[in-house]
Amino acid sequence: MRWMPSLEEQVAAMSDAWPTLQVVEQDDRQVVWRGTLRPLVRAYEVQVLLRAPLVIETINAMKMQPEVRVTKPLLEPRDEDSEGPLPHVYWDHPEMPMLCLFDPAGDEWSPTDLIAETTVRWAVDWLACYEGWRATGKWAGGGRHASYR
Amino acid sequence: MSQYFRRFRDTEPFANPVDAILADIAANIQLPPGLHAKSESRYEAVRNYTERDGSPLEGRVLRFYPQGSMAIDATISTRGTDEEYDLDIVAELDIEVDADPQAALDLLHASLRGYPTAKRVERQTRCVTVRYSDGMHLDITPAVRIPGESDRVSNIFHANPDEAPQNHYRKRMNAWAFAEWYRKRTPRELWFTEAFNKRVWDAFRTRAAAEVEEVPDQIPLPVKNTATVALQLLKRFRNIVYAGSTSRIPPSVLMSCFAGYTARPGVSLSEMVIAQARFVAQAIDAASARGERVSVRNPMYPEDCFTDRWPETLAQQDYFAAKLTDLADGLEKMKVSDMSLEEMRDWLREQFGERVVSRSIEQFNDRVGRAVRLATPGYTRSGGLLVPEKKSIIGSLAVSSVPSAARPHTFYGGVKL
Repeated sequence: MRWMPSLEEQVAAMSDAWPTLQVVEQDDRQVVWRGTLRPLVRAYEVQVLLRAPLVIETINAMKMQPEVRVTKPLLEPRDEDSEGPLPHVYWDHPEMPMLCLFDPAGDEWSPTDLIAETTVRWAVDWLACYEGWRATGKWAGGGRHASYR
Repeated sequence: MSQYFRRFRDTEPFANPVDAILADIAANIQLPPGLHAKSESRYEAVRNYTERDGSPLEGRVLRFYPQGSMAIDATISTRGTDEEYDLDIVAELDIEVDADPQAALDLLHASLRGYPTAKRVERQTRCVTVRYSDGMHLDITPAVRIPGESDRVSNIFHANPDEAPQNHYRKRMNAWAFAEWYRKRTPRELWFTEAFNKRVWDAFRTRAAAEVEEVPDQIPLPVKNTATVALQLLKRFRNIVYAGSTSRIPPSVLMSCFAGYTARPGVSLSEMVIAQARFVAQAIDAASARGERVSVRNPMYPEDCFTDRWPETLAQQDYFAAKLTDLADGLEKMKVSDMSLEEMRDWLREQFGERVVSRSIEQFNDRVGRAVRLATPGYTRSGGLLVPEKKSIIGSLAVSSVPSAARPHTFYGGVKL
């Protein structure tokens, strides 16, 4: 079985790698970071929430994935875009949907990963692709869509 | 700036998105590689035709040499088009040094009559233009060496057929020495050339695929340094500013001269465009403050005045200076402000033209997307994305305290139905 970092270890790795993201809430169940990422020129305020797994034997990447949301400026949809109004998000919030950063069926992320080395980098990737999509209408970063209502 | 980012910038001239997009715009206004190869053979063919047996200039063409943008490898598409290119050549002739201007121009025109091209050979005020169906023009300026002067100091001839002969005149110039001066001041910058020429090929292949053009074999491209690419961007900007104008516009040679004065190695493309724009604007502002028209002369031969036909008025030069200042201010703001790529696109379209900028932004987006798909980007500690020109560069430069390339991942999520 792979080593699973504790929340404290996640916090330490985040602090080392991403000094612009600060812990704003932390208890023994979860950590929330807020701060800015600047993938190209514009800065985005983001929130990252990571929960500690409850039962290690039933790890589910889909349910346990860190939640990354853009809080400012709010993401701007493009109506009638073939990729959908906002590509690669989970519409669990009308203005601040959660970014879909990996394919849960692809064994790309698990709670054994440091989010400083995975989730945050992927969020930077997502934001750069979002800017390109806004400017050109093309989501160039690839991905897979799951159809759902 | 982190050690990682500084080292990245040392080897990656387009690490900053503003530099990357400006490079893509410049790549899209270059003489296409196929035309570049053709220009040299056409140059020879025109010379051979001019001095062929039975030509009025048989045995009287002493030398052909490139001048202007062609001589300093700064050719871009012509004003008002994205597909036409002017190339300037001096034809040094064995004629009298004080030849009648109209007669000299007519003589060259007569020697090119019947030249095998699909378009008409045209006599202009100072040159004869040979046009090709693929959009290339060769402007051939007749010249005669002035005895007793230093190498290649020549008279060229000005004769507008619609003007009275008393308005015709000879003008002294040394285009060859100016090109030598420019080239010495702008040596090859290897860090820049490799990355930029890759972009030129990418841009050309994208265009060729869309327009089903033949792609030539890889040939060396002429672009050598940041100063010359910045000059090309400034010339493109001038072409957009004066797109609807029918009067004279600021001459390329004026801008080339200032680019030569401003050139210095190791400067980013955006910094160089800003520096050139400000330098020209400041020279004009200083002249206007004295109540004078700006005067720019060939640094190797001061009798050769580059501003003899523009500006005609202080208002003309003030207009251009104000535009250049706006460009420099806008680029500086873009580098430090909170602009989205969409906002940058809109502003850049106004400066460099809608079609070229749209294409460039698409190429930039494709490059970012490809790096993300292949998991090759690097990251700055402030959450910036670094897209390498070479796939291997992130791994070779990574510093342990700074995030290096991500591992592959697949964006997911549903289409909201």
